[in-house]
Amino acid sequence: MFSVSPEDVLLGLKATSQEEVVHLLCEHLAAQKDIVPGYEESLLEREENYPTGLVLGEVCAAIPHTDPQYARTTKLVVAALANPVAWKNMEDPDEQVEVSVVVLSLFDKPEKQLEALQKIMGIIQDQSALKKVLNASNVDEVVRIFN
Amino acid sequence: MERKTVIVCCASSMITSTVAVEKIKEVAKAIGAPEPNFIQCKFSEVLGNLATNRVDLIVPTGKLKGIETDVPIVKGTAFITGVGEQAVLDKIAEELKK
Repeated sequence: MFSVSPEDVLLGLKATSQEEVVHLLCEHLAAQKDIVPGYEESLLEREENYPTGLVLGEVCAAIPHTDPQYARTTKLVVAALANPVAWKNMEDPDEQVEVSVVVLSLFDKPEKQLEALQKIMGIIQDQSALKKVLNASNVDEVVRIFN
Repeated sequence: MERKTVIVCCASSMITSTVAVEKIKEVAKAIGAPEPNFIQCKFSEVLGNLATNRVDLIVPTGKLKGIETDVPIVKGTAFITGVGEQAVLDKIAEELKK
């Protein structure tokens, strides 16, 4: 199953928009050489047309992902945002949802995507788990929730 | 109950629609309906599939834009979020029973 590495947990991420969150996550992935050029553009375009903001309850999340050709590896990156940002709603791109937790899934092979989504669904469908991620004081708490 | 044809569609990568297909299979089983014939495709391929198939139900995991059809549409986003999932399952069961 998918696990989350401590270095892929970003706590208190400061951003004011959906695009800025995506940019910061892409910088993180680029620094680790996990993506190739074109990934950020691909992710932004996909979010524009097929957004991933999800209405879940008190704590809402977004699950950005895109096609595998820009990825060099398979992993999840978890970000707890310092303040919620407006994210386009998967249910209706003309609506927005205030997102506080972002779980980005990166895959280099399409067949890994279902497993990644199932892992993510297990967390995002559990408000108490999402709140723990949001309020975590260190990355190991988040790693424990995901692993 | 006759066997229904269901279009299950998502943005591109066939992941969320795969989750939805599994849920719909479970619904069919639970109500004793035959397992539907699934057409799994991208949002952009729905119109083409509607033109070439007799479709009983469309379950998109997201917003299906620019599609005008008499075929009932039940949004399957709840299969990802878990929010309101039972209501969606009930609606799908209703369509499968028709």
